[in-house]
Amino acid sequence: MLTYIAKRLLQAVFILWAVASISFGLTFLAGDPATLMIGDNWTAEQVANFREYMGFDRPVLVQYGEFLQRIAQGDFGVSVRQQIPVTRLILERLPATLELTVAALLIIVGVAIPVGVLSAIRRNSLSDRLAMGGALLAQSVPTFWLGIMLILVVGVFLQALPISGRGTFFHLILPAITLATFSTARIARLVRSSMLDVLGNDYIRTARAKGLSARKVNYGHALRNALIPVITLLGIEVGSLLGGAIITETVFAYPGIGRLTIQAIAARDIPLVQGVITFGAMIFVLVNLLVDLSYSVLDPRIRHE
Amino acid sequence: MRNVAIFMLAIALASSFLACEPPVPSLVVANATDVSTLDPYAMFSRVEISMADHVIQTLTFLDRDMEVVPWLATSWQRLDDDVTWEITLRDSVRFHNGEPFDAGAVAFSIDQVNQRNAEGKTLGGATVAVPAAEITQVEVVDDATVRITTARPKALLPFYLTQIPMVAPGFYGSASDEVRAEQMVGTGPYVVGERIRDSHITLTRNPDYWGDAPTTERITFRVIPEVSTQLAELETGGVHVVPNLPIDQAQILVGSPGIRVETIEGGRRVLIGITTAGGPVPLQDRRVRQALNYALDFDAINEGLFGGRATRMSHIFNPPHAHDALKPYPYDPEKARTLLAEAGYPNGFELTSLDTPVGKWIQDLELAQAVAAQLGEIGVTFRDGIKSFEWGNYRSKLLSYDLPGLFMQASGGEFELATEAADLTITSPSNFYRWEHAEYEALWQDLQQELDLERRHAIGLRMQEIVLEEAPWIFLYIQLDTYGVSTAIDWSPRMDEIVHLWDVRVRTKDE
Repeated sequence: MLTYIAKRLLQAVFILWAVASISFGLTFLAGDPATLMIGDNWTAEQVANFREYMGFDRPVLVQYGEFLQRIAQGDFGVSVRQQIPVTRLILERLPATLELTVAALLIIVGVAIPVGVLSAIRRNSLSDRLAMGGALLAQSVPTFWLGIMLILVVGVFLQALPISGRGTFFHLILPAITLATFSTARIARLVRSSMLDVLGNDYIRTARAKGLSARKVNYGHALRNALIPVITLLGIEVGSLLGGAIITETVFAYPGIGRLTIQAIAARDIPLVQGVITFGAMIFVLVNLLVDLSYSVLDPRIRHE
Repeated sequence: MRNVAIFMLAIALASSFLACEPPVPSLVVANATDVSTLDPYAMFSRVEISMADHVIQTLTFLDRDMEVVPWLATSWQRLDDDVTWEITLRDSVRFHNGEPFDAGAVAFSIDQVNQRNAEGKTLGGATVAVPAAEITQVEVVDDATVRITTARPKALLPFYLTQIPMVAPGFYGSASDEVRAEQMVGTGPYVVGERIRDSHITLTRNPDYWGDAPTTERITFRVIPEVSTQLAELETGGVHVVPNLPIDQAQILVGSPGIRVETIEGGRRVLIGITTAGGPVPLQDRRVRQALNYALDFDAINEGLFGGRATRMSHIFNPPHAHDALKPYPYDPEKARTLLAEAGYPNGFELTSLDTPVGKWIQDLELAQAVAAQLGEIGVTFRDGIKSFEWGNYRSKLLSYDLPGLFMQASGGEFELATEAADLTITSPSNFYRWEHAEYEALWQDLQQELDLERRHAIGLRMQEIVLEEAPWIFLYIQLDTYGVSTAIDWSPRMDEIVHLWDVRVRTKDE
């Protein structure tokens, strides 16, 4: 187990190095970063001074070496536009993003698993068809449109919930629903098909034959085994949610990591762009590692040797 | 069923909770972007400067008519050597932290900008203004008097001073970059209360303000990136002012209860540039260029694309130097044909293409298509039709003069004669039209020397007459800036897109 973790951590370091290097390379791919970052009215002398200030005048390899050294110590530099250390800016957004992720996750798990399980147990019934039809619809609705519709109906027409921003619990409801809808539908469908697979297995027949109640068979035996692919997908979802929900955060003016990413790109704030990209990758790798480790808890047959 | 009842109850509770909020003397503006930093010398967007003007002030100020008026300075005069200005400062003004505002603070502030430039921290509006003003020395005469010397005679010094905020030496001098980015100490009517990045900045009233007390207790600048969300907040009373509305969205708002749409002619003009030299031969003839202008039925375009809200451009420079007596070219296809015939093209001529960016100006592509169709009426056609480009690519085309005979462009954005007039001189990198005119160049030379404001104004008027007559452009329209405004407040926009709210009156319920 420990060897496995060590191996995975080594892999993670490699992935982070690759992502950081790509984000560093992108900086130079788009042309001279100094001219890109500043406006039309600046004199040549000002551009030159700025280039020197940012360190863009040095050989690229030297810059790359320093960049790797810095991020290895968790230092992503200082945001050019905001004049605040990038790490601080990211950490500042983390509570908002965590809040939204947890809320969305509660909806996803709370809705998708029961719906998926019930659909599988009552396969081809009216409720199954309705649920799966609904899931298809929810998957096809664009997040952007759904967010705006919720704002119009719940916020403007009913005036029941705040429209935008972050603050109270009520501010969280609409963005969380918007963010969760697509994943809820996807996971409900996965739970259903995974349950159906498991329910056809021999050990389920054995469990039934030895006289266990339907409830014990479905939830004690089938669901637990059906959850493995679901956990994998949930892990990926959580990873991407933590990296920032760009569309949902933009529609609801919600100051999370997704908005920070947009701001960084719009302002061509190079250290900030590099920071958010590398941070996103870090979270993703970490969440996936946790997911892989959780398999052995769910299914004792899986052992990481 | 019980769950539904609980849900309804929750919604009812929530809405009554929200509805009971007492009306507060507070104003909210919805901006699409955030104020990135509170360091006044690192700010440059209109959103940032709008917020900053409430907190930190400059020596001079552009009023609604874009005239330079006193602010922290009470008067200024040029001394006999033509390069030194003596500036008298407002008396007994204090910064928010209690430091006095005096001549020392002026010298310190300008010196800070120079230092930033030398260090390469050049991402701000003030870092452009100081080199542009060519300030070489700031001399403290006494507490209330400074002398500013420029490298050459600079009639525009008072204008440039509108762009250089005055910081408190004690605070700013000892603060790190990080502290400067998060705290703002000025002399303005408001102080920064709460700031949450990418969410909002709330300003609260400065009780010790030197001028007229501001009308509202608090002003909040919120960040709401999405237009639909901004409008939803406006409709439900969550915000009072939404700047920079797209014109189609503004039309949806017309007639909504509690909301009015304010429009103002802004400082940008949209036009079709004409390559007057080195390009297609017909376009080198002034009569042909005039014919292109007469061939344009602007009213039809205006109705079709802008809901009749745009006005055709006549003046070339922004207020206060706009030539209001100039009349735009009327729609006169007969005259256009006659002029073409006189120039030797009775049946028109063919050009390669009409180039335009997409999404840079309101309905730019549609506008180019409409213009091309109308030019077709007098026989001016395009072999490859309209060519459209993403703005980044289009901008590099402009900068490398890789342009066909006709191309979409815009001018303006500044409210100062000299900077605007420069764009049409033959040595300017912004003269994409390669237009050269002897009298205009001579006037430009005069403008460099002339320090008398009235005579400068007169030079500016003559320059505009020449440009209209010589037609290096197909004159289109003056861009309208559109705002969604709550009917609960008395406020009207400025033409430079800066939002000032310290004198806004909130109407009482009965009004």
